[in-house]
Amino acid sequence: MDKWTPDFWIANENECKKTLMEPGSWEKVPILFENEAALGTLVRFKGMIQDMLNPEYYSKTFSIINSATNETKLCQGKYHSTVINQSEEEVELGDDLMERQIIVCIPIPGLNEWAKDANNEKKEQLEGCDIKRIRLDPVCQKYSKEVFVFTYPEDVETSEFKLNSIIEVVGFLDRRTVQGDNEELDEQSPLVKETYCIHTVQFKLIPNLVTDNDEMNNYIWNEASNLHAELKLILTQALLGDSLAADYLLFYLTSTIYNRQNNQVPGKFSLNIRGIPAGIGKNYTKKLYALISYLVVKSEYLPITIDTMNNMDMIPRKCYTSNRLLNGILQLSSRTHLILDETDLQPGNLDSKGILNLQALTDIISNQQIKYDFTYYNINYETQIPVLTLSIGKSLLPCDIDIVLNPDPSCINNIEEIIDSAHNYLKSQALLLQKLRKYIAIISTFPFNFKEDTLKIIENDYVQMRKADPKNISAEDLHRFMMVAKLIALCSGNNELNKEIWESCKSLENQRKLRYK
Amino acid sequence: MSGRTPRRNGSTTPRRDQTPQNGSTTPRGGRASRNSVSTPNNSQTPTRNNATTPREGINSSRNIMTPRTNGQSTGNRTPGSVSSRRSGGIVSEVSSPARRFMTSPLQGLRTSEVDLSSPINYGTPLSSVDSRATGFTVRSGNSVQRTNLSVNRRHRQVDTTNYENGVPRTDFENQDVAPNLVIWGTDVVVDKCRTKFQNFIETFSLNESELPHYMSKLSNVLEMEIPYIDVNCGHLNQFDPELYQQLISYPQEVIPVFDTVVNEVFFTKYPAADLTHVTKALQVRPFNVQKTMNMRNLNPEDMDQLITVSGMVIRCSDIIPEMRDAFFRCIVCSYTTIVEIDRGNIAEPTLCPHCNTNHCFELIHNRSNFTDKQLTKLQESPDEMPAGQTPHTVNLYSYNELIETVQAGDRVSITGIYRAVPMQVNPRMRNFRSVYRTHIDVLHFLKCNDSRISFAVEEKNKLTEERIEILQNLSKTEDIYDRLSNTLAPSIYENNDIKKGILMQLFGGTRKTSKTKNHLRSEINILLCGDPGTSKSQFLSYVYDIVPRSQYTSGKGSSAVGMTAYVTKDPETRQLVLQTGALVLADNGVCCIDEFDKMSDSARSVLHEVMEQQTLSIAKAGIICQLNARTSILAAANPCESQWNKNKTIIENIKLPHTLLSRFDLIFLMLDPQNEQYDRRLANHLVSLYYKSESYEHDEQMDTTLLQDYITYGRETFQPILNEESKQKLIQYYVNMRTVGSGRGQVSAYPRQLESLIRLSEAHAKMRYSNVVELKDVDEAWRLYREALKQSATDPLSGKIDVGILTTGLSSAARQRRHDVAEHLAKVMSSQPKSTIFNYQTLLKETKSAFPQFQVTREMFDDALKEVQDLGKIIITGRTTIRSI
Repeated sequence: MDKWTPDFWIANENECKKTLMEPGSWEKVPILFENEAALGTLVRFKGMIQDMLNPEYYSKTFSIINSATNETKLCQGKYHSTVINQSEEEVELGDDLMERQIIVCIPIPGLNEWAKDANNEKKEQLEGCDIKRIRLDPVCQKYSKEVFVFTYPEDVETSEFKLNSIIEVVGFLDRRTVQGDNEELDEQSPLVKETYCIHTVQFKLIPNLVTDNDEMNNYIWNEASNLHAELKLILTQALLGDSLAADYLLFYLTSTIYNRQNNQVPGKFSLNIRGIPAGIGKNYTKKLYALISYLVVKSEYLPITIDTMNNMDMIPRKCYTSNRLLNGILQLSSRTHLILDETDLQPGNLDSKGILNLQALTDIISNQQIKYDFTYYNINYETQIPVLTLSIGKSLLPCDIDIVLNPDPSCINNIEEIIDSAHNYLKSQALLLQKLRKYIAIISTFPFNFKEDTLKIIENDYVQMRKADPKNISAEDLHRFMMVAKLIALCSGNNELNKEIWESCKSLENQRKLRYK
Repeated sequence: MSGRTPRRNGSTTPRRDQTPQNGSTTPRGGRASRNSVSTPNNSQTPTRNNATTPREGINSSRNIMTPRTNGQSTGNRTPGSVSSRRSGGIVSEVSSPARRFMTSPLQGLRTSEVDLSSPINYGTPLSSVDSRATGFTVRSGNSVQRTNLSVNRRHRQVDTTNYENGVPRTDFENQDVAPNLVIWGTDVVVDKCRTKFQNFIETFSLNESELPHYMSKLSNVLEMEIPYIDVNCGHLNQFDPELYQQLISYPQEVIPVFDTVVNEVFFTKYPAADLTHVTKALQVRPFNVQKTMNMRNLNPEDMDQLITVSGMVIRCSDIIPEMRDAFFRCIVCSYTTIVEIDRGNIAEPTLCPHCNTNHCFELIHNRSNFTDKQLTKLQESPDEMPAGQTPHTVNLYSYNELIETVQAGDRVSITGIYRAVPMQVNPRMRNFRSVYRTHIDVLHFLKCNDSRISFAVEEKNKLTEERIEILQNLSKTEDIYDRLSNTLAPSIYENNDIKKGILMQLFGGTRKTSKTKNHLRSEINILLCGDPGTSKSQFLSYVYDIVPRSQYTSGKGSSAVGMTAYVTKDPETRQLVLQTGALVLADNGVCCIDEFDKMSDSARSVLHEVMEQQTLSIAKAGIICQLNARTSILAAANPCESQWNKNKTIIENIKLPHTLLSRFDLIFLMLDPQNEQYDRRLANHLVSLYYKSESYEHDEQMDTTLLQDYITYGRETFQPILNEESKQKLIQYYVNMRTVGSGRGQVSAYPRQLESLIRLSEAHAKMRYSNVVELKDVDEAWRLYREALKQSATDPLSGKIDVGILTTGLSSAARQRRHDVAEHLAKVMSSQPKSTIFNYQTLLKETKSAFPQFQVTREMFDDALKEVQDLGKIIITGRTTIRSI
């Protein structure tokens, strides 16, 4: 496989495909940026689709005529982007125009260190837990490591590609200058950069970055209640001994959206933990984030301050000069946990950009949608970004559920130690850690049923609640109850909603509401 | 672009292999070979190749064109020369002596073309070297003009050389000038094509009674002096599918033929017409090709075909003067020569043939010829784009008259020829790419902004016959009204009357276009008001989702300019441009305004004009204009006390000026019902969302797209008018409304209410796909109207429906009371001698005690006092003192 060249592939397409599809061979393909890979050889790359460019037409075949020797060489245009030819050679294009799609992939934003390692199938590196660099300036890394992926409609189904989905492609590596679309103008402008490109032969859509196998999944499912208890313990410690908040944080980490219709997004779970003790501020939230990022595959930390809101490019924006979609911080793939830290927010004025950014965050939280800015219009893209807001008072952003943190007084004084100890505990238990990560990633995706008779009880309860307090109970509360109940059940390994769970859900919600007072 | 080769040598053409070979001998053979085989170049008919040098071989192979073209202008500008992959030239079926074309190039054709006295032979002053001077005919004139057809100029170069050498190319001698000229590589028989098109122009009419459509257009040309004629390809297809097909497949060859015909017809009809100051010759601009497609579907198959795509203009370049040919003069001997542009380059002649000096030429700019060219970028409009992808863009090149016709932000649908050009590679770089750039040479722009169709033009095109039949059948079902309203916003529970109201709004009334200035709006405005959390916003966002041209704004965040229009400086042109706001953007759609009550007064005031006159007047920064804002408004408002106060009127509850309220056709109250049964049903409904997570999508009777299609088709197709019966019924309802009011001494219904009723009835008729408003439509409209009124205009004092609340802001009962108080006051005043000073407080106390049956509020008292003052009986001198006169 190492010796395959594009021309070899074209000549022996079927055999090659077969070889590639054999178990094990996919993983053998060297990974771009991590393993050594030469131009023209097969490489593998995993990334998020950041932009989709216009399709490109190319000649399937062309010939190079050497005027000195008068030899004619027939070349393939497919899987090639440039051909280096000698000065005495003439190129003559064929007339068989073909089309190929170009998508721009970037390394998955927010991917946590441990997940990168895990993806390499390397040994778990326990010491590598440094806090991921907080991205403040998306511009500086806008073009780094982006890869142009050429896909050929005759080989792969190109309509499956969606913006922000994660794909893994195998294809031939090449380099290419992709001009900033100043098509009419010269290509030698300084804007032009050489980037890697991959001519895809095969690709996989990767909905969930965790390795998928049934055996492991079943194991997790059966272990669910144990893992639930373990995780809750850790989170309780992280939340300064508040077990109720830990319950909700756990739901937040595991939740997934499972339906989307008519502006309703059942399953979305945005959480606001407020009442973070004012004095302990920054360090605590950062430590908490570090712990969360150690558990979830993808996460992003965003401090909300007047300055960041006014200056950060959050919303992806189409730049018509380069004809590219400019990456914004909020261009994230599905299930990237976004943690907003409001504890440092000071009074100030938001300018128009700040307001737009705020609006974008609000859109994500309440509709799981974000409007990308195309100057003349906006286009809505669906997102799946669970948002956790950490704030001292009530957050300025909406949320599905807010909970007042009730820290154990004994914990207040040595916050850092407590969190560190939780962190260290995780580090020392490598196997448990692995299971927990897996648990968080998949637990809420298991099939789930509502029992008919439980539904009856729910209905009755709702009517009773409305009777008791018609002003404060609305349909939204019922939604929330259902969502919490479902998560309680799934997290402890139940795939049905029964009466006990419903009751515990009610008591949980009641406890939460009691804290408002 | 045309005929550019990736490398320097002119003898290699990019696609010569594909040039269909047999087209030259068999008129229709070329067609088949268009997309298929590539065969070596030399399989062309030997007659053409044998006499040419190898270098010219390729050129000549493309150059086999009609003798007339060659003859008249030394072989340049065959419209369909090199650029396409099938390389059109015109060849003939039978051989005949070439002498004829040399002497009278147009013999095979009509004499009108060679008639040099024809006005089209405008005799533009041209340089002596320019071969154009040798004989302008209609035909050559056209092809000169049409840069957008990519007239290849390399051709001329070759031919000119031939003629300069004094040796006409031998291959022409073997050509014929027989009538059956075929454009090489196509199945287009020139004469047939001409005849057919002429026939089309002269006879095609939209309906029997009218004049031939295009003949009247030609008279427009004469009157308006517009140098082109738009040809709707839909008409052409209707008239002659074969000709249409030829146009689509070989636009580059066929359009010049059309041009010729149009000019002929025009100048035959109006021989005295003089258009020379406008144009050199009339042009045909085809549009509305049925191959209208999404930009995304363009593929290499469409190369060099006529296509129509729609989208939004995102960028316009400056006008690029593109040099067409360069004029060189030798600095030694003043010998002059013209060099044609070749693949974007001008090859400066090195050796002067006259004096044999090397490198002695200088470029004379003002004797070179230029064309205007503009690069425009078109981007897919968001509603045509599959979800989750990014929009595609395509480059457009427009030339001459077509430049500057569109601006960034315009929604246009353009017709043009799709092109691919090999990417130019820097010769210094060793890298080479086998990649093409694509663009469209624009022939026609159609702006979508200002036409009424825009609500659905794309959607309508998409509707197939079968789909329409499904819709028609659907419209005949009995319970269509309920089914439609059930499909609407299925996630919102119950509230059926509101759904019906919104359904009516989506259909809209019949547009009345009276010639007089009297404009009656057809759009239905709806206001939803009620308790928080009663899914008002859900209704709004649902409507926003399903209506293609809709806008969603929140009252809190929108300013007056955001709603209307604002002036900004365009970053590219540095000119002031008008940016339209939500209301204008929602023209022909629905503008959803949430939190209507929280809107600033200034923003709300612009709505007055929009909601009745359906226009917006702007006067800002030197721009004064009136924009269309034919938008329906769906607004949602919360009561000012956050909870609806049942003891107050609607005006008091939502604190909106009644002038605005009366512009709403329907005002629905959405109150939290607070009853057990409702709660139970609602709970059941919500629970099912979780329960049937998968099947939920499908268990509706109709899906949303069907609903959309149904509404779109109905809205566009039907324009119901009232029949006699329904007229009478409406009158009756109206009179009833009036008499109820007059019984209590005031007017309770206004013409506005009657108009609302008419609109609603029309919408209901549209809903059932009928062109006549029948009795049942009126009844339903009345029911719905009452239903909405019952909820909104109930006077809390009397419990009766009172339209007066909406129109004057006061219920008639309240008005009556105020009147009573005023009368009482007047009596008290007149009982006292003149100039008595009353104390405000004591007077209020007295008055209160005088009306024990109801409470006299201070407000009411003030109002009453004012009323008395207006009568001229008192003067309010201070805050507490009142003096009677």
